[in-house]
Amino acid sequence: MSDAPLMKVEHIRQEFAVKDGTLRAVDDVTLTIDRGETVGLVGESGCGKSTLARTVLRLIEPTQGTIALEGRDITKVPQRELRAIRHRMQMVFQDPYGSLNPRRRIGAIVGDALDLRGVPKSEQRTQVIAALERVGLGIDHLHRWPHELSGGQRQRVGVARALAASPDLLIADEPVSALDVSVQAQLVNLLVDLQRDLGLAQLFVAHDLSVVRQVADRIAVMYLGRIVESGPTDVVFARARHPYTRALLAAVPIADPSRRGRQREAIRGELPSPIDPPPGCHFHPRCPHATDVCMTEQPALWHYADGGRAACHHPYGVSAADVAAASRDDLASPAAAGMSAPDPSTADLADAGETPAGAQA
Amino acid sequence: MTAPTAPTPAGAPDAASDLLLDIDGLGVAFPSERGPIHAVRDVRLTLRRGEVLAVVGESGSGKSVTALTLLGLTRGRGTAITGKAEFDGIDLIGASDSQLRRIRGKRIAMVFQDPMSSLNPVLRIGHQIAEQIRAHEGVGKAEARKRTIDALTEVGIPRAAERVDAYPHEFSGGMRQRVMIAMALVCGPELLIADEPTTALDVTVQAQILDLILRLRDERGMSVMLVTHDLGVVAETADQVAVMYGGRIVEQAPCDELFADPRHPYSWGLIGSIPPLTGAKPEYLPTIAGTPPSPLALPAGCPFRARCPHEFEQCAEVPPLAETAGAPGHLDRCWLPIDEKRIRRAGADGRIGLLHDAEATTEESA
Ligand SMILES: Nc1ncnc2c1ncn2[C@@H]1O[C@H](COP(=O)(O)OP(=O)(O)OP(=O)(O)O)[C@@H](O)[C@H]1O
Ligand SMILES: Nc1ncnc2c1ncn2[C@@H]1O[C@H](COP(=O)(O)OP(=O)(O)OP(=O)(O)O)[C@@H](O)[C@H]1O
Ligand code: SF4
Ligand SMILES: [Mg+2]
Ligand SMILES: [Mg+2]
Repeated sequence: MSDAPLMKVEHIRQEFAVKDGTLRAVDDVTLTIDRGETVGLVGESGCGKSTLARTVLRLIEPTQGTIALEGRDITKVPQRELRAIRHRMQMVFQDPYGSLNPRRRIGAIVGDALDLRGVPKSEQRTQVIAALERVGLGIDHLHRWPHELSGGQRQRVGVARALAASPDLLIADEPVSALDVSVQAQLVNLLVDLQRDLGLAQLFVAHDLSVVRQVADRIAVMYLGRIVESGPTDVVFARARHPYTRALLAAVPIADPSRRGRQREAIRGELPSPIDPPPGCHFHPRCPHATDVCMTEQPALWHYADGGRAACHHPYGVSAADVAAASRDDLASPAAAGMSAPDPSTADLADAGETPAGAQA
Repeated sequence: MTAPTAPTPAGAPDAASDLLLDIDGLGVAFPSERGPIHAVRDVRLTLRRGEVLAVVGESGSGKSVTALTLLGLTRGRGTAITGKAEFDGIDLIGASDSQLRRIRGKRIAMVFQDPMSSLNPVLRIGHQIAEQIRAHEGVGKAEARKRTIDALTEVGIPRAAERVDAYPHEFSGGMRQRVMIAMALVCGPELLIADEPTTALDVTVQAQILDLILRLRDERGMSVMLVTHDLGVVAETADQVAVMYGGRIVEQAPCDELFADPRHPYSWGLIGSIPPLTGAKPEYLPTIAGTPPSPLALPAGCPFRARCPHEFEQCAEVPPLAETAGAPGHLDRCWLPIDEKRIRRAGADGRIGLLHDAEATTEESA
């Protein structure tokens, strides 16, 4: 085994040609996932989460950037050769109804993953049963059809199918969003178990921040194709630096009526079109703290001493000493050379709002 | 120049005249080849003027059918609708279709989860809202258009005077939901029924839409029946909460009470399975094992019986929806004695959840 991270994508850009021009769904994203680590990817609908997840798997080819599995650059590996390593990265999809072939029995669906790995037919049955048991489905499910299962059970079949390939990395795109809360909790517990027992690394895409907090070791927050904040889960929840992250956290409804009167910093408006994104910091039209520099200059992703990273000119809770100790992301863009440092003098100015986690920080 | 006459909340309301919606013993059964589907059974609900009532429950528990039935939208050949549903003294079950049409959109308005299902894609949104006004009030085109622009402005659509001529597909999901709310509110309804109005939206937009609904409630004294499956949304908005399971109301309580002192095991399960956003992370989330019953094959007795770890002999009989422990307005349908409930719902860490006996009682019984 090498020291390289399990998965590393660098400076990924993903563009789509659309009627009105070019849509940049993913814009210069760098992300690593270590062995056994769960990385949560969050952000509003349309910010590019699924596109990034698909690109990592090379289900779509990146416009620019590199993808490396255990240090090996697989960006240009032909799709035919890719098949040999595909089983190491498996995907679980959001829609438990559309993602299983309705004309195949559960056992056959899960067994497909074993074909991929070249497991002889004689050994497949035992392994399929083991995968089903792992996700809490009994042997009696082998011969059942997808339509005979509930949404939660189908989603477990999706996970079992992925597990049968014995992957190192599971990419789960909103795996629990379509499920009832009670069933959602069962699946969340399962995903936590898989990480703990099998050391499975996961890229967990979700828009529910409380679910992400439960499963992720690290979080990356996307806005209009860019990662605007990332860091260890506890750091991001307790000390979110980017105003967008804080707004996202503040908007989560809390299941505790005694917290109802709390002051919340609501953000205005909605995600702008990725076809014509705002210049400078993409977030500036919705940001309560935007200044002139925000309208013209894209903020670099600064790395702070606690492992948190934020791309904001006026980050919250950052002192001059923090800035001095921070380092800057090595942006490929030539503009990076002339970029401004975060300005601690303006930080916190308007931080009247409270994020859920901020209350106890 | 007639402004929409919004009902104003009475200064010192007396309880009886304040009652806007009174549902009792409501049942809805749909015909099917395999026998009747009992989607809603013996539902009892009340809603006062200016109040927000949240209806929560698992998928398929009968929330939408309850809401739709109030507007006559579940009527059909073979559908058996029984019981009472009165709106300001008007019998909604017995009302004729034309009577209901006059109430619908005027005095009771509805917003659905998917705005595209209620907006006509080929008509300009302004036209659709103006038609709504003209159908209920004898106003001219110019007046209707002006009121439409005012309504769009009120729900936070920027440049409403220009956007009024746009088509639904030219709006984002959040903006379409605002258009729906504008359309629902334009005739000043006394009751807004909102079925999962924010489920398809981002939390940021959800917060804006919920704030909007609450503001309109405050300003107009409008009542709201909010169907949702998100207990966070309930805690942020509701005055009263009804929890549904298997077509029945299993618990009903003032919002604070439900979270502080939940009485029904299904409510414990719901509350427990939300991952906390602050504080210590539980190692495992308490869950509700199994799946909800099919409305075609409902178990006899308590509808939650098959998934309830606390089930005992008496549960073979349907528990009544009753007040316990002398808390008025807090009802539940479970046979367990109140003291048992308070012990059994708390886990070792004090968090509420649906726990198995062993986990729940190790501390107390030691
Ligand atoms: N094949 C495609 N062609 C053109 N545009 C695309 C394509 N795939 C995605 N997009 C656009 O790229 C942007 C990012 O989409 P993506 O599906 O990655 O968002 P997301 O963050 O996963 O959103 P959601 O939370 O709704 O799933 C969107 O504006 C989307 O419309
Ligand atoms: N028109 C219909 N004909 C037959 N069965 C129906 C009809 N409408 C609803 N049902 C059934 O009635 C039951 C209750 O459905 P309802 O739509 O009220 O659930 P819900 O609580 O709103 O669930 P969800 O959270 O998924 O929206 C379900 O089992 C559903 O399949
Ligand atoms: S009545 Fe019985 S089965 Fe139903 S919730 Fe109460 S204890 Fe559980
Ligand atoms: Mg997506
Ligand atoms: Mg529904």
